[in-house]
Amino acid sequence: MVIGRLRRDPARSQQRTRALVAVTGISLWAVVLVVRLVNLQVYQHDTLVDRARQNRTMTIELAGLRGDIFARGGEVLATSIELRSIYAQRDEIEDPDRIADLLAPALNVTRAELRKKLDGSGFRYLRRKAPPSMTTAVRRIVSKHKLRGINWVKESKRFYPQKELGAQIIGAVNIDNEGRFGIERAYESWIAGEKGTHLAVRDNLGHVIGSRAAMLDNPTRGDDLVLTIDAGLQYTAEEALREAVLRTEAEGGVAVVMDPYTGNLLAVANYPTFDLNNNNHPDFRTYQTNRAVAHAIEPGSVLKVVTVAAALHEQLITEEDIIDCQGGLLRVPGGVIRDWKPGFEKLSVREVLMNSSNVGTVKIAVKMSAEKHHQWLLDFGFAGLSGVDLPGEVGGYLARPGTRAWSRRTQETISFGQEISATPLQVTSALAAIANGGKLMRPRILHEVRDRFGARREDRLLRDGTPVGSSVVRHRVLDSQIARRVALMMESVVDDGTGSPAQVAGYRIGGKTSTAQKFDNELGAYGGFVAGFGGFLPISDPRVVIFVAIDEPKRGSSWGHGGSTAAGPVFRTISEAAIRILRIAPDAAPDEAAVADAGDPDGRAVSPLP
Amino acid sequence: MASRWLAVDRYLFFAATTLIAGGLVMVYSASFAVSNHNFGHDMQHVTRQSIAVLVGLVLLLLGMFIDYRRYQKPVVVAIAVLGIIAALVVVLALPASRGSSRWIPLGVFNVQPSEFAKLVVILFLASFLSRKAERLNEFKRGILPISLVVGSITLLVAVEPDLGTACMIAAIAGSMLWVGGLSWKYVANLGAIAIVAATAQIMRSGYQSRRIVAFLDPWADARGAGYQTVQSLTAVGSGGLTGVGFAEGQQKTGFLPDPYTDFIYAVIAEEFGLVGALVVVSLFMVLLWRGFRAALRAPDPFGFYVGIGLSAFLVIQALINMSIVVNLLPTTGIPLPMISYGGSSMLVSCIAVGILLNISQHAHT
Repeated sequence: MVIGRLRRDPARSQQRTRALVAVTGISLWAVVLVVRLVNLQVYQHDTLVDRARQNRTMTIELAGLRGDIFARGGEVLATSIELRSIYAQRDEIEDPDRIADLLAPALNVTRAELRKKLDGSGFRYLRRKAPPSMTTAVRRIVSKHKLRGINWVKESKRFYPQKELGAQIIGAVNIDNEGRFGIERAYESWIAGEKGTHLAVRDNLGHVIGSRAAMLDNPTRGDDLVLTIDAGLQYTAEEALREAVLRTEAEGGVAVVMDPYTGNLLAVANYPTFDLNNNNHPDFRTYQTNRAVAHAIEPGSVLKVVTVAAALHEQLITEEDIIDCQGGLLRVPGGVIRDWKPGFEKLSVREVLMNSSNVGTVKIAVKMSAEKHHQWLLDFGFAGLSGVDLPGEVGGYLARPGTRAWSRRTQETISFGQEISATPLQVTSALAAIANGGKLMRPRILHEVRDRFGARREDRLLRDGTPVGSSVVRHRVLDSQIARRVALMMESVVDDGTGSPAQVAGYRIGGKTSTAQKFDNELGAYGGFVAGFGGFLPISDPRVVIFVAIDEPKRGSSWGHGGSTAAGPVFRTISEAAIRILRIAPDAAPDEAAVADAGDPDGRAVSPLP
Repeated sequence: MASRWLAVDRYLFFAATTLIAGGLVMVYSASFAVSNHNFGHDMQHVTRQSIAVLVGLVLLLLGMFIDYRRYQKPVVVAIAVLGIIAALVVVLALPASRGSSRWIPLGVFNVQPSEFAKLVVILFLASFLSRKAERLNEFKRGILPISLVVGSITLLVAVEPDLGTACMIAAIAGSMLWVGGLSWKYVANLGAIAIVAATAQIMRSGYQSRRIVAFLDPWADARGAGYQTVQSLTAVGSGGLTGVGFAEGQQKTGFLPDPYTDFIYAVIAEEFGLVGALVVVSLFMVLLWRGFRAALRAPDPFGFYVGIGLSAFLVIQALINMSIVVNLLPTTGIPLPMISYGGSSMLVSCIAVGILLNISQHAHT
């Protein structure tokens, strides 16, 4: 008997006791452990299950699908394509040197560059939105060499099929597909679509356990936008502008084409321009400004039309009143005003406009009070926002009579378009008011917003609360009769006056040249020129208003620096394209036009033609 | 003697082999996700562990068949003590990996001498106590030489640094000395020294003190110092009564650190619930019961002390490991004997079980 034997030995008896105490102690420890297990696995079970669930689930954000942008005729101006972005999960990479060797040529980077990106831990993009050929090459190498840690993910990339067409209007997005400028930015909230969330069960090794994933919210596709822009006219305008800027060695140029009755912008061209797909090119950043709305210039002689229209409306003059142009020189407080060439003496009002006499225009203007003249400019939309649905519009500069900025010769200077600045769009709108019988339209470029099913959305409102695509008459500027008479005077500018380079055979065109001197704020003096030409056709029922401005054409260049020679040909090219594209019929003979007038309830072309 | 080999303690044998076999299966379950992630296939860890188990079973059988009394010879004990001290010094001289020097690389496998140090300490103390138990409470001829040998081995392990194993060695030595009849005076003194040393170490190292703070309230810093504990508690708690099912556990997939080594018990508790967790505790309790029974029935004091030492080693280490998993003790790296992934730990556990089985055959009936 063990026990008996141990008991006979006092020392071993003590050890036996202590051994039993040890067993008891250890067993008690085990009991505590069991109690703790019951506590955790029974009483705290629910809380800890929740805890584990939180661990494992994560929400993944899925980008919304961006809507497309179309021209009026359905041409795609901006769309999204699906590409793959290649990334490294650097914790999984076994041999970064080998990967750098193998993949650098396929990724089109230097080995050292790639090697550097592979240092560190975690996720890192190697190439976002890689072209399909690159993705294929990389995939082939990865599977051939069984490389671990190189993966790819789908991403959508904005693509502009027409490249530079309407670049400043359309705008572009950044790498995360957020609108950065232009319409892409201004209507971001409509185009972007809503992000979706995706609930995924994951492990902590970077794997999503797909079968247990659940879609919480589907990402939605954003709205499509249809612009009023006519792709063909836009293209012609940009090409013509480019040629003119190159021929006149100018800094740049802008052209605006508008439907006078609706305010629809048919083309808004800027030069220099850039390819919207090539955002690494320096031009991409340099030429984003849309000069048509965001850049005010001194409008120059084209503003004489406004002066004459105002005086005509106020019944201070008629077309055939004779103005003494004093040989082309007029003393005003603090200086003289000269005509572009000396020798104009007694001219009719029509001839003043035809010959673009500064002196004659000043004499017509001063028949009005400064306040009245100022009000007329405001009525024509100057020194105020047109409300166009394009981003970045500026209002231009105009002093107020009675303030220090309005000097004793300001009214005189403004009458021929200096000491005032206006955007090309403001000038175009003012000309449109003359062309359409006296209504100042709000210009617009959004024709239609379509939801993801292609249906027209009526609930999209512009900032002024009007629905997208509605024509808005801001107010009536002129009686239609007066507007008509001004239009006919403008026709003589093109027929017999300074605007002859704009003539198009078979069509009667109203127009006005302008050669403004630029006031250089830094130098405090007049420097280069802005050559402009604005007008509309056909006179009998104007369909398009066109304004062209060439910034700083050079005197000695092949087309010269004048509004007529530098901007006139652009006007003519665009007019010819408009006639073709919009199928504008030649002007009818006078009596036919009169018949047409009688049946026109809108009162278009109300005045019988001479 | 041949008939005695058949008198091997069946409870002990089946408890141990069940733990080893079940452990291998759990190493697979706990490691396949990480293995797949790091190596591209499921079997990396379980393959290596299978080899360790096979070698371990051979050693278990050897231990079972070799008469334990052969280890009693002073020359064997001396060689073992000097050998392990040499090995621990070599480890310290080798370049560190992951901030500590614990392994001697031997080609395919690395050997961890600190695991074997446990066996050596048991052998040394059993030898000492069985021959000179009456001198135990004498300072110069008893406690001093014991402290020198055990202390130096513990210290060498502690400076690797491997505090968990050092504490484990101290715990084994403490249990054996206490059962051996150490007077309360020395128990109090040595206990005080251990507490002071532990406190000093914790105060000295910011890392250790953060672990203590995390032990007291792991949820307060669930992403930092409390991370391991929080993930472990989450695994255990979400197991519930019957668990989420074999291989279905989620916490091992990157949330729970070291799921197939120090925290494998959390995986067991998650996949098999309270039932599975209790089975493991029960098997170790069987080990405790049968181990102490074999010790008490051993024909000689050496067998008694070796039996006590080996049982205490296997069961106390298991309880420490499981207590850490359920946050009854602060986190420190200690494997679960016979279950956790790791070759040295597996071999040492198998040897311990083998020797215990051998002792059980010699029991007085």
